[in-house]
Amino acid sequence: MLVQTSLGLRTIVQRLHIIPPAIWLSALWLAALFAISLAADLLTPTDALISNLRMRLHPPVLFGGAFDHILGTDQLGRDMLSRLIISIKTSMSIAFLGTVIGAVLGTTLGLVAGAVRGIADDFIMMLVDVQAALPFIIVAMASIAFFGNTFWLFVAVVGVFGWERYARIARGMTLAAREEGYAVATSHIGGGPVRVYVLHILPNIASALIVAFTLNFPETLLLETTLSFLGLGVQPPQTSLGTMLGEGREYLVNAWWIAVIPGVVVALASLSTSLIGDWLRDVLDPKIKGKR
Amino acid sequence: MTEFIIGKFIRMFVALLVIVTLTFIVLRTSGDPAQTFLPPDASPKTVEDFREKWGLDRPLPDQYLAYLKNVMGGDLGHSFVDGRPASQVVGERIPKTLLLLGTSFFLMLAMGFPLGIISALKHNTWVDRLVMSIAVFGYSLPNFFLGILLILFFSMYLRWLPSTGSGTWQHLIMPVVTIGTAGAAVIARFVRSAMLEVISKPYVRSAKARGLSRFTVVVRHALPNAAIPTVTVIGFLLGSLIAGAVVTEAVFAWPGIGRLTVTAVASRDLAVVQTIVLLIAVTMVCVNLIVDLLYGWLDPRIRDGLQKGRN
Repeated sequence: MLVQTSLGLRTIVQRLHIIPPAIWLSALWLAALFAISLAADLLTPTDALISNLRMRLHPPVLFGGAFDHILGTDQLGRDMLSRLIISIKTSMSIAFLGTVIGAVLGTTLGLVAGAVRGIADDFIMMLVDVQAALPFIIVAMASIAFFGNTFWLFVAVVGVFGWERYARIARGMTLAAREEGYAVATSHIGGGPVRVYVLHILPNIASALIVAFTLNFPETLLLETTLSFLGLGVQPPQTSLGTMLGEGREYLVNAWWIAVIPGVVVALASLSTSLIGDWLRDVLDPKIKGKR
Repeated sequence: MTEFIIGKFIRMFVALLVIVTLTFIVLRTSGDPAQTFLPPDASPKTVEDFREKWGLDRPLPDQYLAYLKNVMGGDLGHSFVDGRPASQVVGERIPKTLLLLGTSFFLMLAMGFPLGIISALKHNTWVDRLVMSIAVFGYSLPNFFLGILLILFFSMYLRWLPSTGSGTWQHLIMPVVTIGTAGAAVIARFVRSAMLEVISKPYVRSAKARGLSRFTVVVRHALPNAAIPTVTVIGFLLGSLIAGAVVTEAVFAWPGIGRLTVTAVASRDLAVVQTIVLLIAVTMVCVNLIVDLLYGWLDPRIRDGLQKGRN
């Protein structure tokens, strides 16, 4: 569902005025994750990589553990809290970087398709079709298999994810916007295509793209954690939420917290963003209000 | 309608051709295919035969045609791991994955539709809110984490269900729930909003006014119209079913295509990876075609509209 372009800043601010508590909590959780990622190096109580085999598999505080390791220790005796903070930083950075790459790539291709039309448009739309024919995780896994898994390749693969959503939105809205008065006027007074499309049309279709961005972020986060969980993403000694979960899968019998703690962080992040995404959609598109 | 079907077929064919071509390009840019597709201990004679068969000594267009021919014939190279044909390695995993996906798909529909309908009929009551809250949880919970929670509760704590393997029907329960939950939640949300859309339409009101039972009104008049948009979502969901299978099979050590994908990618067994990619692409493209045709068949307006040459 596309968002209306004609929505003014004032109406958006007015509608944002009434924010339900669940949305507040969700936003707070995401803000906390961002803050933790930014201040990760200051926050870790101990070095996340130091292992201490005499302290292996200690449970968290409320489950019989001691206060020197609040969230317990893992299979190598590393402090869970420190590893969790570092993992949040890695996962959030990759997800954010990935979402930005996807947004830039998709928006550019969509704008080009809508502006140039003809063969370029057909070609880009064909790529969108092909993308829709394969679940992205399969494409990502195949790229990792063919080109080997390095950190930046992984970021690039995660970044490509979701490009077709932006491309579709940008193309559709560009096609509509180029007929509108302001775009026609700009080109009539001699504005070149870059001026018309980048300076005038892009800002006018930005609100829909921003909604797509908020919807895409949790999906990118999940893609990263899923691939890392499968052992195909972030490689040790680096650690992400997915890597921790994957390691925890092996220790479910005697150390549930290794898998459950990062899992809760991911699940809450995903839940928060879908709540915010749903709410944003309702707020920005009054036509479907109350139906979702 | 025939024009519509032919158009869809052409699109499907083009999409497949592009995928095969992209695979070819990626294969050629990522290293020597002889090393990639033959086991490391292959004899020089085998390597020579391989080069000749795939035309590696000839110009690129010839190589491309040879590649197309081999792919059409189902010859996709040999697995690194045991030297067997990749198509055989992948093929023997198909039944297990089909069993898992089929059951999950059934669960998705069997839970999603009733929940969505109830939610729409009880619009804005506590039932509606409860179902929709559960649905939000259902599709936000990453399925690897759901799988782990299920294992902790049903295998470790209650000791009711086995956590790995695929021998009996008990083995099937947790993987199916893991894959099916998110899809059921998406369908429930979608059916709900489609039903709400339909239920205020004049023909539903007139059906009620004619004194038809509530059941007849919902099942005979509202549901068929609400089901039409839902069909397209089901097509989309197949992609997430396959993605879900990859993760879920890894969590529960289920010996299907998904787990094979993970091990093949980890060991860079490219012949197997390529076979899986093509298999999934063909499946997805065919299912999308079926969904499109079903959509046209279900909605008479599309059928007639297309006959008049619109769109």
